[in-house]
Amino acid sequence: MTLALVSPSARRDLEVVLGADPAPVLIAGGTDLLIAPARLPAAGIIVDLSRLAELSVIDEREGGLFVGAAVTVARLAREPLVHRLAPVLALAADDFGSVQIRNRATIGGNIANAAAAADLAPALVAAGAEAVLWTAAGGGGAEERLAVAALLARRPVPGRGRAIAGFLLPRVAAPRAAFVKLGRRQEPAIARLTLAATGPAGALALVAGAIGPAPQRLAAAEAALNAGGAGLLAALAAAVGEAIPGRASAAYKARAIRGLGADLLERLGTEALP
Amino acid sequence: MTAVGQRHPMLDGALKATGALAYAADLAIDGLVHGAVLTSPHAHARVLDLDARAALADPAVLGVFWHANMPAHRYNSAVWFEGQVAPEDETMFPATPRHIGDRVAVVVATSMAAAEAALDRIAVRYEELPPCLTPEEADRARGPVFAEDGTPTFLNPIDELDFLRGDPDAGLARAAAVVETWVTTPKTHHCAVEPHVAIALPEADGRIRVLSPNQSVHATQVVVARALGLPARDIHVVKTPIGGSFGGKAEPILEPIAAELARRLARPVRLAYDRRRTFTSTRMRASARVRIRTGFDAGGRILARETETLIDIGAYITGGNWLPGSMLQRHVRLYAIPAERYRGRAVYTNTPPTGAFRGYGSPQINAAGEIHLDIAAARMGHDPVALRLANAVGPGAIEPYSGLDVGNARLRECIAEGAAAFGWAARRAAPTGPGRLRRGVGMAAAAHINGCYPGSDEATTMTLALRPDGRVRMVSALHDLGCGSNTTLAQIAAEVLGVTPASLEIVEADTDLCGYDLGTRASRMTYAQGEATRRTALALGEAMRTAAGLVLNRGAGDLVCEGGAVRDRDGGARLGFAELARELGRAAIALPAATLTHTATANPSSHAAHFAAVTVDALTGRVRVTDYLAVHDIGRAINPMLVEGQIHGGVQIGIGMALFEDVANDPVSGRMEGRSLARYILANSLEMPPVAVRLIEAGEPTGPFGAKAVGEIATIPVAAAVVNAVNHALGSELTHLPLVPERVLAALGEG
Ligand SMILES: Cc1cc2nc3c(=O)[nH]c(=O)nc-3n(C[C@H](O)[C@H](O)[C@H](O)COP(=O)(O)OP(=O)(O)OC[C@H]3O[C@@H](n4cnc5c(N)ncnc54)[C@H](O)[C@@H]3O)c2cc1C
Repeated sequence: MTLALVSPSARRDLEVVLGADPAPVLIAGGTDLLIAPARLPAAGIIVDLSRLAELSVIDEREGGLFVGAAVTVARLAREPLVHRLAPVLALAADDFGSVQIRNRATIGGNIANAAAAADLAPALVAAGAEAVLWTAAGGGGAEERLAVAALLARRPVPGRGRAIAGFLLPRVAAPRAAFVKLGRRQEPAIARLTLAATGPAGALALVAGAIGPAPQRLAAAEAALNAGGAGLLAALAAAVGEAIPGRASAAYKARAIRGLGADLLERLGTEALP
Repeated sequence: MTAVGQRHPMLDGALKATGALAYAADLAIDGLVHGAVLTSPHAHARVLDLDARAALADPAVLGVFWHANMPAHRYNSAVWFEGQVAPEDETMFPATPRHIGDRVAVVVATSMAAAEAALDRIAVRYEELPPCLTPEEADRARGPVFAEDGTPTFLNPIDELDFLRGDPDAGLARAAAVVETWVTTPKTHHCAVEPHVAIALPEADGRIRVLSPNQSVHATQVVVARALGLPARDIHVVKTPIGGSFGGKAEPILEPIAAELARRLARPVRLAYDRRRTFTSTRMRASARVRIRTGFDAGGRILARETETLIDIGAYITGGNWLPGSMLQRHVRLYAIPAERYRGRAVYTNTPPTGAFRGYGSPQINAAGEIHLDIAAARMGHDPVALRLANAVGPGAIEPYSGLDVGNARLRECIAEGAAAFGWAARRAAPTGPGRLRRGVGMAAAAHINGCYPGSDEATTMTLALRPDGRVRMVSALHDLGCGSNTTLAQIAAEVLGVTPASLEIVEADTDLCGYDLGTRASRMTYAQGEATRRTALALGEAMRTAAGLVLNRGAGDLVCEGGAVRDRDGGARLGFAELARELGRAAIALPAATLTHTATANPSSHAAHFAAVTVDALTGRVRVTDYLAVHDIGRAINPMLVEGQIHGGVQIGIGMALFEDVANDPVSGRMEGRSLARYILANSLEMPPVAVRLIEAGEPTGPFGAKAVGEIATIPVAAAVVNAVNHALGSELTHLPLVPERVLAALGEG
């Protein structure tokens, strides 16, 4: 029984090791993996993703924005291209963890870890992002693409023999965005509720985090938001009530989401609404 | 004054900041083996059987120890001197674990990893027993706490204290207003950066040496000796640098086990808890449920007060039997109240044991009393500051429980000067706002002790000696808990001897080197050990002047210690300390030294008044403390910078108690919700308001250079000041701490 660490720098090498049996453990920033040592295997292969240059790329691609899976949250928060093309992601990154965590944590790790409270998940879903997956050699170096919302329905994320290579976010003309988060303190805080809204004025997508295992698009609240905001707070409260009926925290969250909704409206400003 | 009153940096500050200081866990020790503790997953169970074969199959594993093969001497981890009689209900490994996290077994292996891995291979068969998880339920399980043969029954109450003064019924009957409240405080945890650790080594002479971060080497020595069934002289305890304690390391927890294992295996053994075990398997602050009923006259003077406390001390007594009394002692030193009835009861539950934590009962009883007083003020239409000024104790008041003089108590100055500096009147009158963000201000006053007098053994022995290099060595039972107390003592000695604090060479507590002392606790360090330092320094100064007189051919009375030298009162001859040592060596005269035992003869009050401003989000229920002022009756600040540091830290702990902190033992399963720093929310730097500090330095005649304590009182009024500000902002009567958003929204009603 040995434990090996490999640090591939080429996609081909990663694809080879992805096929290993038992399945290798991928590590990026380690902010989830290393604080849960029980999840580290005693034997097998640990794959360090930090040497794969392509995983750290941020560029314009296919008319949208591409963000490599190993891009850190700190970089998302400061990169001008992200602010311009996917402001909701930059805003979510800014509210994430603490300085030290932001410097290590990666976007790929946040999605692969698939926590209900993952802050980047609702932002990516609201932005209509697609995940780009690389698969183990034998699949002919095939790339798999699917919506982040669909990816998050898998268990485990991203699925055996796969790695997340990055995310593609469609371009929106003059995107509006807001991200609001409620934790037990300011920073660092595990989200108890998040709301991510983004899109063109009058056609924003509204997604809530931390009220279920995966982000939820709130159709009625979204309609209220796009109709000018009237009835938004009541619609949000109703959505929480439906999402977590009977939970001890439901009554509180149903009330507190009104506060988040009010923050959201304030941050969006009136020009985002028709 | 050249040293006292100076903002002198901590003597070991640079070592700490650069990581050069070795803490217990950093010590490299040849042949060290490691122990890992297996703890109970049940709140109450009997260990029927333990199968260690699979664990022992690993050659790295040296042994597995549990109640069947370890000594079962009962002990109380909170005793502090040899011969002390205390209720003894704890053993190293109980046959019937009493809380989730109680000790079931220990594995010793040649590496920490092997020891940890072996834990999973120990099969324990438990018989689950019904747990008692709330103090109300515990309070119904009444009976003698020990059976005739001395075995603990774990019945309740473990202590009950009644106190009566004057005629409270008459006072309440003629009161213009009677107000009753019920305040509950959470169990909170110290969360010191350094988790618990202990190292034990067999010594050549057959004794066991124990190295650990602890608050009293003598207490540790006694507890270890009792647990092992050995005489105290067989245990040699050395204090290591502490990465924070706050009371959490006042009681030995791992030390007895490490010592027994070192004795058995004849090898150095280290035991260390991780963060989770530090939460579930050490100590924390007891929770209190406090009902208070007060009668006021029309002017707001308190005529009578009735107080009933129910204290949940957890699975073992430790020092919990002191709590009803210590709460009473602090409760009655704050206001001059002619008629008082108090009943305090402490009870066992099947939750982790409690123990010392900054203030030892004071933060709980203060929160209860001061939240109560603000609710009373609001109901009667009085201003909280005026109400307190009308009832505050003054200098020379007699504290009715112990009958002691509170000394130069400057509570009124704290309240009045604080109110002026904070702009209380205008801020209190400002609208709280009808909208989403409500603003409020609140305040609270506090009284605390200085040491354990008239309790037993409030004595400190110190030696100060001139070294050949001209430095002065200080040897005593010194336990700097990280707050810089060694620096404070060095400043006191330096002031008397006319040297710089850095000229002191400080030897920390080691039972082989120092006389008995009860350790750094109970706000006694500056007051008691500081005075011991001042007196010993005076004696050394005398000896130095006499010795220098022989060299300079002068009378001691013509000489003074000043500027690092002994010199002529009116200029002229001068001998630097190093020069003096050299001259004395040449003349074959022993270097001067002084040893002195100082026993405190008083227990004055330290006082404080704290003022907080908050905003409350009426939609999310979140509270932010936006501004803070702490005014302290400190007597004299030996080092104002360190005093401010204590106050800043005290405010941080108190904001946590008011708003965030609760280990939250589940009342049905006993599982602790807050068992990691992800789940147990502390106020961190972002939650901290700007904290302004004002010191009232009116001098305490019995303290060194007039100094009194600040360490514990710094956190005592904080929770009430913050809660009172929230209640002001919302017009609410919130009394159950912490004020988590759920409770705040509930106070706002359906909306
Ligand atoms: C103190 C603290 C505060 C935190 N605060 C927040 C917060 O505010 N918001 C929040 O959302 N999270 C927070 N987190 C959680 C964590 O930081 C994030 O989930 C982070 O994004 C994880 O990224 P990582 O690179 O560190 O992941 P790692 O720990 O390296 O990996 C996490 C998981 O993802 C897998 N993985 C990583 N990269 C890939 C990939 N490219 N393809 C496939 N699988 C992959 C790993 O195998 C592992 O299972 C916090 C954590 C800590 C310790």
